Amino acid sequence: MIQKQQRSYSHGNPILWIMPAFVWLVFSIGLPLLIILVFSLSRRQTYGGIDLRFSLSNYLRSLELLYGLIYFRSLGLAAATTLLCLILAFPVAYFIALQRSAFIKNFLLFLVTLPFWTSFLIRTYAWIIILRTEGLINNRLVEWGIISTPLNLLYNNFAILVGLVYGELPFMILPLYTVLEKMEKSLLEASADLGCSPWKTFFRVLVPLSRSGIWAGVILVFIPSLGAFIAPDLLGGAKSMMVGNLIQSQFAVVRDQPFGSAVAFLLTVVVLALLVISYRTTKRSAELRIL
Amino acid sequence: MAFSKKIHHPQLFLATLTVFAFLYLPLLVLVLFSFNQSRLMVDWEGFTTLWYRILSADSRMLDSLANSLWVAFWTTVASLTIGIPAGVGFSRGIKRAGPLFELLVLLPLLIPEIVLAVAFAAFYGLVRIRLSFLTVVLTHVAFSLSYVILLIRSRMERLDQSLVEAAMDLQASGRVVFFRVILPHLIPAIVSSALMVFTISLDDYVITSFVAGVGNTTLPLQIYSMVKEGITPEINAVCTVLLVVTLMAVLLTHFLQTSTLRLRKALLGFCLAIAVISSPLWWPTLSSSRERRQTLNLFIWSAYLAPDTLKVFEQRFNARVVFDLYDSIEALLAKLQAGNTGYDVVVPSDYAVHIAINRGLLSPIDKDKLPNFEKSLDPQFLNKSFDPRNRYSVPYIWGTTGIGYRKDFIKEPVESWKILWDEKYKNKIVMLDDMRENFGVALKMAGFSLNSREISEIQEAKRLLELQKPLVRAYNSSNFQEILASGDAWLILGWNGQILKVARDNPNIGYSIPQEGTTLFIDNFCIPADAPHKELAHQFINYMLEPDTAAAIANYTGYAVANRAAVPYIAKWLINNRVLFPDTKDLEKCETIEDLGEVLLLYDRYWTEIKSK
Repeated sequence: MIQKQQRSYSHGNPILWIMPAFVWLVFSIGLPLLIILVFSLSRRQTYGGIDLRFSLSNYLRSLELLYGLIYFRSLGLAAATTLLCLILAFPVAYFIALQRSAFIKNFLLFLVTLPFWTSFLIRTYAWIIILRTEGLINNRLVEWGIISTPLNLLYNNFAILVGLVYGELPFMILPLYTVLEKMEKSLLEASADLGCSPWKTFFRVLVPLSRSGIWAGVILVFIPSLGAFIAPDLLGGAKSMMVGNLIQSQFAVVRDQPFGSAVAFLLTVVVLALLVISYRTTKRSAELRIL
Repeated sequence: MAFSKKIHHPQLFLATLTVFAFLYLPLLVLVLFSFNQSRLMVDWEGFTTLWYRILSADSRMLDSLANSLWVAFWTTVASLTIGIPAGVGFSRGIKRAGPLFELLVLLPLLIPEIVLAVAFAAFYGLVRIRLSFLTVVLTHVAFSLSYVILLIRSRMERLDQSLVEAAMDLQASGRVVFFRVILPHLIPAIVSSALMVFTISLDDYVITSFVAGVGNTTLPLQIYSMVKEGITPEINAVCTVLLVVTLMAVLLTHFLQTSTLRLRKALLGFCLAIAVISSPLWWPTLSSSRERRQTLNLFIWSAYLAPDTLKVFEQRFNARVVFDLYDSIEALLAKLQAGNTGYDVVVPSDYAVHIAINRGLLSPIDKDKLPNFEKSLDPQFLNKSFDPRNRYSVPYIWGTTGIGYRKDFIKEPVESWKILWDEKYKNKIVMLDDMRENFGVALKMAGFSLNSREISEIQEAKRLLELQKPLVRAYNSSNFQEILASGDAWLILGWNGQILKVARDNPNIGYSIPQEGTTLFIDNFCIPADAPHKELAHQFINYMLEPDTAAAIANYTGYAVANRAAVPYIAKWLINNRVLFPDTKDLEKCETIEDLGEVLLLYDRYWTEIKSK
């Protein structure tokens, strides 16, 4: 029904609209990745070159238990990062969307991204200064007499999570804002008038209506944090391996590009499947809720 | 501003304020340390504007900043131009190609950066596109497009259909509907995605390092290549300048939009004046390809040069030198493998030379063209196993891996690797995050070669490393010297160059080469097989081997050069520094890391097992 209405104003075929991007993506993403797919089905030469004889051994190896543990740890961390980002980003995005002046809206958005116009490495070093044993937080807390011995804030999962959430937060705020900005305030008022508590209004009205933005944000946060490795290394102390490290070291240290490619493809397929499944289920439950 | 009026949603406002505090706390630290007197990001030692003065004279840093801004700007423009129509078309539903397109949009997000990076490098190599500014932008657009398309599409889903219908009822054409109804509706998404794309492009490091060509060093490449010598607050200063300038630009733009016509003209004139005044900053990057002199393209680790090393060469040989920095061997190898890079001289370290020789990426060196080779070089660093008769490589700078320690906390002598296994120092030990260096320590401690190919020996090393892991506070290869200086660790496994940098400022820091022996690294000049100016490359290497050139480099950088003839010209305090120039007997048990071929896979498996415990 909606599709038909949309089609009615179109001038020209939608295919034509996406054609430039489509061609661009085929050439600049599709073809390079095809090369990597071929790599993943090849063998490693003694000095790390690619031996193009067909082999499935890389995929078999990537299914071993040793690597399975790494995948699960990374998935858990990425899920936690995404959830935290969602919780932190929603009020910010909503607050910005509620502003009346276009300048203030855009300026606040700009302020959300501004910290990221600096060097990633220096930002991470700054977090080390804040979190370490004699760092900003510990020194203040000891000074104010809140704690007597410094807290262990650096080189653990907490520090990794701080680093990841920090790095990915704008990628949740911006997509959420783009959908919340158009929110019909009257719907929220109607919900309140009908006796819904603010929480109920939030979950029953606001969340379903911003579903497309939540999805864009989840994709933009979950995936990069799954592959992240520099922040986990510097803040977490590199004591446990993430899938990002695994792939990175296959390319940069062991020079086993076929195996690295195979892990990357396996990961891609799993994440795609996860996304499709959860998208379908949330869509269905959202539809049920509206009914 | 609207803020001064009544705030309607106090809880939301408070939550937003908290999140902004979280976002800006590290930024505050970053800006603060740009005014710090210390070279390290460790303690506050007093206010100075020194780093800004250094920055203003550092044309390489400013060039790389200009490069970064150009790349980000064109990436944003191109991504929006292609991405907006695609997002609109996508939201209207496309039948058969839909799922394929969706996959293509998601793939750049799904595939880890390093994999994309290798894919791009291999692709450009295969289709024989020379790496350049264009390939950098092309690649950035490829992975930025997805962000634009996703954001535009999600905004389109909130388009009010009645507006479109009303416009159509009023006989508006499709074009008018797009420009007058849809595009205005999309503005928040366009702003968001433009900010995102600009941010991503500006800070991208991994992919750029694989697809940048001659003269395309961007700011992140510049910064990462400085890690090896220790990053200075100059980086904080450059980031601060960028922040202030963008903030001012945004406010100015707003001011322009709301101001009266006359004021607008005045401001426009002001901006033009600024642009003209600052043009020397931009000009070199635009005009660099015009010169007629022969050009030598150099690819090198950072800080391996004295300020006038290249200037003197340029004058003497009437040539121009363009140099780019790298920090990953794999990026270097991938670029050489793809071929046609345009580099004339590259500087890989020992095992990378071995790999490059075996993959046929290097051109033999003609010793007849290097009279200084015999005269100057120290025989200790010649004929090493990675290139037995130095047919492809000329040693340049060398160093060791050893234990950096705090004299104020470690009261016993640091003579053996065993101290890194001492329970007393639990959580005060930091190891390099480097597979070969860790195995090297364990193998040496057990009395084996650090290039061992014996399974039983490698297993023993693995057992030792597993035993050690509970004592280790962190594995770190980037800023271990700062961890030592801050006292978060008392014993660190590290490279001598970085440790020397902090030892100069802090007399409590010592460095020791354990008696069991350690890793010796040698960085070498090599000429790529397809180097365009081989003659000039030889002249350059010969020039770099001259005693006074080499000595000037050692004096300035604080790295040891493999140049015997240069010793009389090197500052006495450097020559007498045992961190930099250890006794010959300390070097006897040292080895260079070799590429172990298939055996490397066993090391990797064990390292993964250690790391996933």
